[in-house]
Parts: sequence; structure tokens; C-alpha cells
Amino acid sequence: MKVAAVLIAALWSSQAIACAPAANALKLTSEGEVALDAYLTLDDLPLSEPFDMGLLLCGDTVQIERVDVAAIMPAHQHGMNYEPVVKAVGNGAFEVSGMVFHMPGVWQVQVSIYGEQEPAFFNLEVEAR
Amino acid sequence: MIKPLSALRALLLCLASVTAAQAEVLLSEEEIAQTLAHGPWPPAFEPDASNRVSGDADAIAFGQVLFFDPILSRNGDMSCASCHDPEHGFAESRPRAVGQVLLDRNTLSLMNLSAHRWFGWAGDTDSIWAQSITPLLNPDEMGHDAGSLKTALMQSDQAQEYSDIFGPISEQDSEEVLVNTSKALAAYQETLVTGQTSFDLFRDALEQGDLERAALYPEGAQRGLQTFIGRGNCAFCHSGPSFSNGEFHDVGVPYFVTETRVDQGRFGGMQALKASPYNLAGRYSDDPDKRGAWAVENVRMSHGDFGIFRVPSLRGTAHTAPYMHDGSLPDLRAVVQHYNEIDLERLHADGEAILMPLGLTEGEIGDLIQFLNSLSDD
Repeated sequence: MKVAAVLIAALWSSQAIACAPAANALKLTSEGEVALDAYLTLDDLPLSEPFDMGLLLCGDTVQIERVDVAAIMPAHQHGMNYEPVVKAVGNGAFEVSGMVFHMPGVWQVQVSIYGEQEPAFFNLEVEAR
Repeated sequence: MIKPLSALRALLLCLASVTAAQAEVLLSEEEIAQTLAHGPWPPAFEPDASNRVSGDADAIAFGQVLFFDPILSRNGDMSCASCHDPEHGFAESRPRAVGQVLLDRNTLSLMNLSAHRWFGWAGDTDSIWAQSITPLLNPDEMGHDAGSLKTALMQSDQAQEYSDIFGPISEQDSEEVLVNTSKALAAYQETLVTGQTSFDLFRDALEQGDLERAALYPEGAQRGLQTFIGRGNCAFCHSGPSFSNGEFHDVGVPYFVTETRVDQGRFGGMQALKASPYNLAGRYSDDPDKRGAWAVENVRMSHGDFGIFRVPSLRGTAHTAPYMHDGSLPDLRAVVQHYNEIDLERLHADGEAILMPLGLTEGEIGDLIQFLNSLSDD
């Protein structure tokens, strides 16, 4: 089941973002043609404990009104039991807190971006152990 | 894999796999890595920030006295220990608990409570002290209200001890007395921790690369462990040092209490949690940072929560039969048999997709039980 998640708030506008993903940032896969790149920074994946992630969006000018983050276990057909909180911190960067992977295995992080343009969707598979 | 192994651990794992055969350690390198995730044990004590008397010696002693004192029931006929029997792993042998009436669920063990985020079969509460309030106020269990509890304490031998720890009882409102009493009970329950088992000795020996010592762990238990972390899929939910992910799952155990009444499980538990004045987002938490409030505020409610129950820890489990939320399985063999022949028709249509009949042989069942027993031989 696809899990909805959280959200953000503030209208965030990015004009000619100077994007500098961290060295350990992981690039997400976009669904279709998208004028953005998305990167996740994961320092740790503690099993069954809350953890934070960094999300960085890079790309052309875009009006983003809302960013949702969710995660599912494709093999198990379920998502997380908690709604993560997404907070814009400027320059295309977001802090995602309250993620909990409550089972070991492959999780697919899903990022949905909504604004004036067509919604953009990204995902990334990571393994919790 | 995001979480890298340390160089030292990787070296030890390498050494282990190279010499496993001669040392009679049956596990592969990957299985050893999975095994290490189930420890170390026991964990270091960390005071509960929401309970200002957590770890306090006087409160622990007072909580222990209260735990065995029937003044905590309104009619004076039962104490906490009436159901949470120390001789039965702080659980009891009846399938379903009996308070003032026959209750709906099996009595959960009180061992290793600090390892949990949620308490009770349905996670109605998010702290040990809040969970301790539940039976005190339930009319079907101990039947007090805050006022009657305060009166009972004031008229008992415990009044002075209470006042020494929490201040003059006569000057406190009854709600404060209720919460303080539960916090003393929690301080005691936090001390109920299982010790090192033969599994832990095995696990620690593997971590230290001491295969000779690891090989002392019986091969049957090792094979059972391989099933547990392998095709049994047990470790998906029974994960980590406490052998529980602390969350809630549908495992095909019926949730009809009678033909006409259902146990709502986590669905009802979440409603109770969010409505409770005693949750960690509330004013009774002593933690100025309100750690834990995030879980109350951000836990997801969904229709799939209906009739699902918390994954119990497996530490000490051999002492706490019968099993499952309704106590319907009399022993560990019955539990293994339940998963061996699980009825997929009973599972939620959108529930956990990895549950399926295991098809274990009698020998494999015996090995798995031997492994489970090795979590209780401290």
C-alpha cells in the first residue's frame, strides 16, 4: 500500500539553484521526464528506530508547493507505520524526520513533488539491516 | 546496504566463514552478520526521561512493594502480581487474563519493557508508567478511579513511603497521585530484565571471532536459528536484540472474542493512545523535551490496523506460555505449527505479503524450538 506522508508547507521557489549534493548523497530515480534531480543523504538506517534524511532538489526554475515523502517495502506490500515530517530549509534542501523502517530488507523511498507544474515523482531503493 | 560493517567486524566475519566448518559453527558469513544484529544483550540501562523517578532506588523499592500489594485493586482482591506472576516470566498460564471478569487477551510478560515503544497488545500506551495506569483504572481489572486509589494509599502502610518519594500525599490531587504511583510501578518494572542466554554467549563469541566458544552452542539451535533468520522469515518482525520490532502485524490469529464481538487490536489501541492524557505528548511526561511525542503525533492510522497486535519479544518466551494475543496456542510447538501451516485465508488482504506456510519438517520444527528455548535459558 502506498503510504502518504507528510508534508510541507511553505511555498518554496527555486530560481537557478546552485546544487551541490553531498559526496555521499544518493541520486533518486525519476518517473518519466522531470526537470529536477533529487538526492537523498542517509547517514544511518537504524532498524525500527526513527531516523532523519536530507533531501536535495536540483534543477530548473520550479514552483514547489508540497513535498511528500513515503517509503514502502515492495516485497511485503506495506509501508511505514509513521508519517515522516518534511521541512524546507532553503535552496532546494529539505529535512525529512520521523522515518522508521520497522523491518529489515529493501525499502523504496518515494518522493512526490507538487506545484504549478506537473507533479514529479522519484524513488530510491535502500536496504535496512 | 547503507550501513557499512566496521573493518574489524568484516575481518572477523571473514575469519569465521573460513574456519566455520572445522569449528562446527554452521552459519554462513551472511547468517553471522544477521545473528550479530540480535545483540548485544542485556542493554545498558537508560532512564526513562518521561519518568522522573526512573532508576531511583527508593522508587524502585516502593514500586516493587506496590506491585504485590492488593490495595491497588479497588476491592482489595488482586495485585499486579495476580496476573503478572514472577514465577511465570511475569505473565501467567491462563490463556486469557481474569480480572473482575474474563478479559479478552493473554497477559503479556513484563520482562524487558524498556525495549518497547508501545505497550500492551494493542499499543494503547507509549510508556511503562502510562501502561501501568491502564489496569488500575479498568473496571474489569483493578477497578480504581484516581480518587479511590488516593484514598486507598492514604489509608495504607504505603502513605509514608509515597510521601517520602513524591511529597505529601495529602497535598496532591488524586490525578497526580495516580500518575506518581504508576511511575513508581514503572521504575520497578524497568528492573525486570532477562540475562544472558546461551544464544547471547554464541552471538558474542561470533562477534569476538571465538569460534571454539561459539561452537559450544548446540547444532540443533544453530539450525533453528538458520531457519529463524532464513526461510522462516521470523526475523522480519522478531528483529533486533529484543527479538521484536515493537510494531503490529496480522499473523492470522482470529480477532473475534466471541461470535459477535471483535478485538479491534491496534486500531482501538491507537484511538486510545491519541485520546489518552497520559501519552508522551501530554502534560504528565516529565521530559521537558517531550521525546516520544513524535510517535504519538505521527503514527499512522489505517484500516489495516484492525485486529492486529504487537510483536512480542522472544526473550524469556519459553517461560510465558500460552501464546498469541488471545492465549490460544498452548506452547512453542503450537506457535511454530501455526506458522508452519498458516491459514492465508485468515490474513488481511492487504497485510504482510511474506507470510506463507513454511512446510518445516519435524526435525526442523524441533530445531526451531530448540533455538527459541535458547533465548530463555539465562
